[in-house]
Amino acid sequence: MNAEKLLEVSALCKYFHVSGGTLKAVDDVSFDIFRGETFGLVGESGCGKSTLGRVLMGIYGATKGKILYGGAELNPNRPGARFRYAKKAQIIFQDPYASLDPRMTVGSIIAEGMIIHGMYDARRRTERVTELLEMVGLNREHANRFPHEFSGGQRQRIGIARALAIEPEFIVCDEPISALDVSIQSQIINLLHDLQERLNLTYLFIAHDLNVVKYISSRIGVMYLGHLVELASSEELYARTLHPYSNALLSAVPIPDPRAEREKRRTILTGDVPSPIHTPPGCPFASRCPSACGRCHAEKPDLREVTPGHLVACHLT
Amino acid sequence: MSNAKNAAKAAFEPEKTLPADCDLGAEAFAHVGPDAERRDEIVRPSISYWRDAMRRLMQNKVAVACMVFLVVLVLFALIVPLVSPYTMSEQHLTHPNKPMFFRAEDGHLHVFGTDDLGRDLFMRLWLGTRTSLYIAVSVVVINLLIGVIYGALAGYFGGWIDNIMMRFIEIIIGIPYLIIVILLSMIMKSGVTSLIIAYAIVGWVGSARLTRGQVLSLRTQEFIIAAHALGSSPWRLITRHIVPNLLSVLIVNLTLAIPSAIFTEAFLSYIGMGVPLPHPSLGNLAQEGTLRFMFYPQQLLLPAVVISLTMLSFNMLGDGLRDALDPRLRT
Repeated sequence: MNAEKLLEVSALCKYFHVSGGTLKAVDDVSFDIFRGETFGLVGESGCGKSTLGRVLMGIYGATKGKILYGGAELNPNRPGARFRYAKKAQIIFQDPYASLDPRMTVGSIIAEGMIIHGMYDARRRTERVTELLEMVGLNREHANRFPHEFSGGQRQRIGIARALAIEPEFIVCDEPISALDVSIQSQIINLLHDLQERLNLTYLFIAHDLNVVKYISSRIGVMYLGHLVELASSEELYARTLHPYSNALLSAVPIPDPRAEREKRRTILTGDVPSPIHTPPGCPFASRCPSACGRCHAEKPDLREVTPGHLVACHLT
Repeated sequence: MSNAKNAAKAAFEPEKTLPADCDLGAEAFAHVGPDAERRDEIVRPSISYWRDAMRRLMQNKVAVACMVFLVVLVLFALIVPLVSPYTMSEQHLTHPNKPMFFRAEDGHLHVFGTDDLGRDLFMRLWLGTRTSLYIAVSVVVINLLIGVIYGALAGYFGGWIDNIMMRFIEIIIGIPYLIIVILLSMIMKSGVTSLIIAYAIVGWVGSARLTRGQVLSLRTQEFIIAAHALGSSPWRLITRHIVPNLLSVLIVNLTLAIPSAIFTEAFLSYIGMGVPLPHPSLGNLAQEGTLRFMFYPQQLLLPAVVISLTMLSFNMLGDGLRDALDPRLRT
C-alpha cells in the first residue's frame, strides 16, 4: 500500500448539547486514512459511526480536535472552505428513500452538484448525467423520471451517481447497503468496488455488517460509545482480535454452515451500552466487558500500537 | 446428499414436459440488454416539476370543472356589478319581494327578483360574492405571508427561539376570534378592512404551525443534508429544495383556507358583526333571506347555493392540487 495519508484525524470530538447534559457522540478519536484504501468503520447502533462520517464530511463542525485533508486543515466554519472541500469529499447515505429530493428528476438530482460547482456547460452536463447513469448501471432514459419510480437498489445507484458527479476523491459511505436486500447489497458493494478501481477513490465505509466490511475494507476501525477501540488491517483484525468488544462483535457474525455455527463459541454481552450523556470514568466498555478488572473501571485506556499497524485501546492486551 | 437432492427433484417434477432434443442449458440463454436503436422510444420528455404538476392537474376532470366554475364565478362577481343598471342600495318600493325573472313596469329585468326594499338581488348577490371573495382571498394571503415567515423562522432556527415563538402562538390561539372582532369594532369603524385585520390577527397561526412543522422535518431530511454536502449555498438550499417541498403543502393549504374564510365571513355577517349594511356580502344576504324564508325562499337559497358551491369548488380544487403537486401520486 502506498502510504500517502489522505485524511489525518487527531483527537476528534463531537459533542451535542441535549437536555440532560452533553452527548459525546465522538470522543477523542484519532486515525488516518490512506489514499486509495477503504477504511471500514464498524460498531453497533448509536456508537457514533455516522456522526464521525458527517464530521469528516464537514456537515457537522467538530467540537475539538483536528482534521487534516491532504495536509491542510479542514475548518468548515471558514467561508468557502466548506465549498471547496465539498468538491473533494462526498457522501452516500443509508436510506435511499430519504436521500433523494422527491420533487426533482433524477437528471437534475445528479446534475445539481455540477451546477453548484460550475462544472461544464448545460449540454456537456446532460452528457455527463448519461455517462454517470450508465457508470452506475442505469440507463439514460431514467434521467427524466422521479425518484419514487425506482427501487431501493436503483435509488442507491442514483445516490452514488450524484456523489460521483463532481468527481470527488474521497467518499463517505454511510451504511450504503443496510437498507437494501441481500441480493442488492452485493450488487452495490461490487459497484462501489469497481468504481474505486476505475476512479481511484478513497472510501470511508461505515457499516454494521462485518462480512461486508471485511470484504471491502483494507483496514477496519471498531467503534464503541464514541471511542475507537481497535484499529487493524482487515485480515489482522479477523485473525488476531485483541479488544474484547471486537471479539464479541466478530463472534456474532453468523457462519453459513450450520455445523460450524452450532460449534462456534459466542461471546454474549450482558447489559446495555452506557448512556453517551453520562459516560463512565474508566474504559467505556468496562461495564459489559467479560474480563474487566478494577483498573478498567478507574482509568481510560489509550489507543496504543500493539503490533505494527494494529492499535487497540485495552488495558488487558 | 446428492442422491437425496435428486430424489426430491424427481418427486417435484414427475415427468418431463419438454421434448428430449430441447436442451435448455445455460448457453441457450443470452443477455439481450437494452435495444440501442429503439431505446429513445421510452425516453420521457424532459419536463420540469411545475409543468408536470400542471399536466396532472389538467387530467383531473373534477379539479378542472371546479377551476372553470371559480373563474366564471369571479368573472360574474367582477362584471355584473359594473354593468348592472341598478346600484346596490337602489330601492324600488313599488315592487318589493318579487320572484325570479321579474320584469318591472319600466322594462327592467330583475333576474333573481328583489328583496323587501325592492333592491335588485342579482346585482346584490354578485356584489356580495365579490365582497366575500375579496375578504377571503386577502385574509388568506395575509395569513399565509405572516404565517410562513413566522413559521419558517421558528423552524429554521429551532431551539429556544422556536420554543418562545411557539408559546406565543399558543397564547394567540387561546383568545377567541369573536372577542377580537368585537373589541376591534369598538375602536375601528366596522367594515371590510377591520374584518380583515381582525381575522389576520389570529388567523396566521395555522399556517405558521404548518410551515414550522414542514421546515423542521425538511431540515433533517437526508436529501437536504446531501445538497448541503454537495456544497449548496443556504440560498440554493432554500429556493431549490425547501421551498418546492414546502410550496405544494402551502398551495393546498391556501385553497383549503379560502372556503373556511368565506364561511367565517358569512357567519360574522350573519350575526351582524361583519360587513355593515347596506353593503352586501354572502353572509348578509343569507341573513336577510332567513327572515323571509317562509314566503320567499329564493332570497335565502340563492346566497346559500353560491356559498356552498364556492366552498365545494375550492375544496375539490385543493384536493386536485394536492394530488397534482405530489409526484408520488403520478398517474
